[in-house]
Amino acid sequence: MTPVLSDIQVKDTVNKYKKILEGKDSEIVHQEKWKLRKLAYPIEHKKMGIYQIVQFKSTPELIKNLETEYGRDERIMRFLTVSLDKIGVEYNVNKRKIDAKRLKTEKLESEDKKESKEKESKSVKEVPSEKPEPESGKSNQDKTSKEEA
Amino acid sequence: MLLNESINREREQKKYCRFRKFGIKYVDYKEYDFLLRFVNEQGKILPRRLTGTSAKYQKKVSQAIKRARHLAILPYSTDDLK
Repeated sequence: MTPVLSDIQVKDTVNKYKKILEGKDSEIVHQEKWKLRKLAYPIEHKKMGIYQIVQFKSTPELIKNLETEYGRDERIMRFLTVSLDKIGVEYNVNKRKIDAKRLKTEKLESEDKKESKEKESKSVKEVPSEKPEPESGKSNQDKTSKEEA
Repeated sequence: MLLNESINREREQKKYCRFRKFGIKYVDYKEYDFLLRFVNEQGKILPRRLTGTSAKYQKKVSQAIKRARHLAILPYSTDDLK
């Protein structure tokens, strides 16, 4: 099934926000992409959406700018920025470990050993953070709107 | 009191807060399957007395559900959620 937004467009929008985030004082900790997902209620007359999660550390001013940019972008239907306290940060670190392990076992079951070794080297490096880490929650992207990878 | 019911009925069906019991500290708004347990068929948040959660975690749960609703992971209202 081909989404309205092509893959390239999705990547473009994601990169745009990544650049804002990778500026001076901020650091991206983790980024995740979900499959095309059915929405619980139609947004802008659309029933499916693309979700992206980014976890990062930054200053408050950057976050303000980010949010104004989100609001202006037609491709993004909904966004949510959440600040994580230390419990949230721990939870996310553990979750990434579990996900990485699960991916490893899935790969081992289905593919050759060589490929599984490659996967291990690519696994996500966890950055334990002391600051409260704002987690920019999903940006729901519209099929018709541009994409964010 | 029913015929075959024991007298200590309340103690047998002791309610507990699942967060305290299992040591869960963070309620993730992204977990659709987990949050479904705290919501009825119409999508409404269930009261504490039915789910047995403590006050502190009930607040976290309801906050997570409201965030999920904003992101269209959970509906605001339906008829056929489960």
